[in-house]
Amino acid sequence: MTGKKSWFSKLDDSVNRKIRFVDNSIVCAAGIGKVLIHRKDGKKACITDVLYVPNMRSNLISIGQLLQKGYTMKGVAQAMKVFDSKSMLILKALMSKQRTFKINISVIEDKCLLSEVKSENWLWHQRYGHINFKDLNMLSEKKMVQGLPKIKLPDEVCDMCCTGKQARSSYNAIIPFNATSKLEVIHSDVCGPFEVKSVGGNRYFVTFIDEFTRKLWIYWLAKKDGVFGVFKKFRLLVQNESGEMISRLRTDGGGEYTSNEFNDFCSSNGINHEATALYTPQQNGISERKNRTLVNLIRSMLKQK
Amino acid sequence: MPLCLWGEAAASATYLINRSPTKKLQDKTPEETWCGVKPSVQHLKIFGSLCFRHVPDQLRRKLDDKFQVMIMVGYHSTGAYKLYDPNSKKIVFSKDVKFDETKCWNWKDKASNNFDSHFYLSDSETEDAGTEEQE
Repeated sequence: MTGKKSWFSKLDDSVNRKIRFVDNSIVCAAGIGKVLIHRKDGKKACITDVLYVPNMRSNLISIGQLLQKGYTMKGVAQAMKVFDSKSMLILKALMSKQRTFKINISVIEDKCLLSEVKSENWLWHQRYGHINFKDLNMLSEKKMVQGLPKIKLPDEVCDMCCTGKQARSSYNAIIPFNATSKLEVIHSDVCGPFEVKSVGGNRYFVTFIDEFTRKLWIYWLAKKDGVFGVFKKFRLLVQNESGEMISRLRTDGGGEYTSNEFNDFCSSNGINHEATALYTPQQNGISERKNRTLVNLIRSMLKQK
Repeated sequence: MPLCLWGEAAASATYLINRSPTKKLQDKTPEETWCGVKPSVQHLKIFGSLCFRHVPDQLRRKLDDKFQVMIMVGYHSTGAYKLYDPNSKKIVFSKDVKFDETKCWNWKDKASNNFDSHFYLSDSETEDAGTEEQE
């Protein structure tokens, strides 16, 4: 008897039996099946006629059933040994303090290598090219097609659907507006490369935005690796101007922000460099939105004359 | 305008964004929140508009033109304008500039850019930007 449904490699849930214990309590078995176990020599063995009793915490093995199947038992000292019909030792159980016998059996969780059609629901789900169950349900419920049985919504998730259909989870703005003073949080991003070099021969610009005042600074770069030098200049400029210190820098964690010298500079100046998750520009929203505004303005300003 | 001026456009855009409303700040511009002074925008001119820069006495002879046609490409924090010389492709800063925001430089046909100094300098709509102060 066991309470773990996942242990069963085969379960016939049409069987319903009542089991009466010594104290007159009754439990209902919700099925009967096979459980695969590991033998000590590494081979597999199978326990048949195992009852599935939901909510049962411990697993029980019936000596009566073992006797029925031709096994013999022998009590030796503080242990009980079970032999099969050829007198081979198959189990050894030590007696515990409550005078019950405890055995350790490791169960093989069944692995299925071939895709198995679990039921009619899943069959139709697969036949319909892994359509989602709500639509399948609707098709059958509203009788939109002929020959489709009634479909129940399953609890499991289809592996093939996950590999084929999984999309990025929707983004919720979890980063709050939390700067309470000037220069507490600085957002930064690099924009470019532009196809045309500027008059000064640059192809990128880097933006710095103070979260509290939303003031924007930009610097031009010929190459992305100039970000470090520019950040040092910017830091000196704004700290002198405002008298505050930069305490956090939020960037997209691009290579230009994560060089060793940049990290060393940040840590030695007490700047907490927060890089957002890779390929998640949504978390760098303030910088990215400002870039959009900027490039929009640039485009229309260059177009107007 | 030639696309190589995107850098100048970016600087002007920054200048303008800092003087524009932002969702998070209530009834204030970023510039005001940063430095505490309400910024003035009287000196703003259309980006890329034509302007006439006064040529300093040291740089010209007695009978030379007193102005030079330039293109406005930005602002300087001291109140000067950033000007682009389309002939020499250089950038200069000058405070003594007159603007004509209705005209623009013909980038495709450079020969057509002949501007009559008398006509523009007597135009009442042009303002003397040099007398205005920034911030």
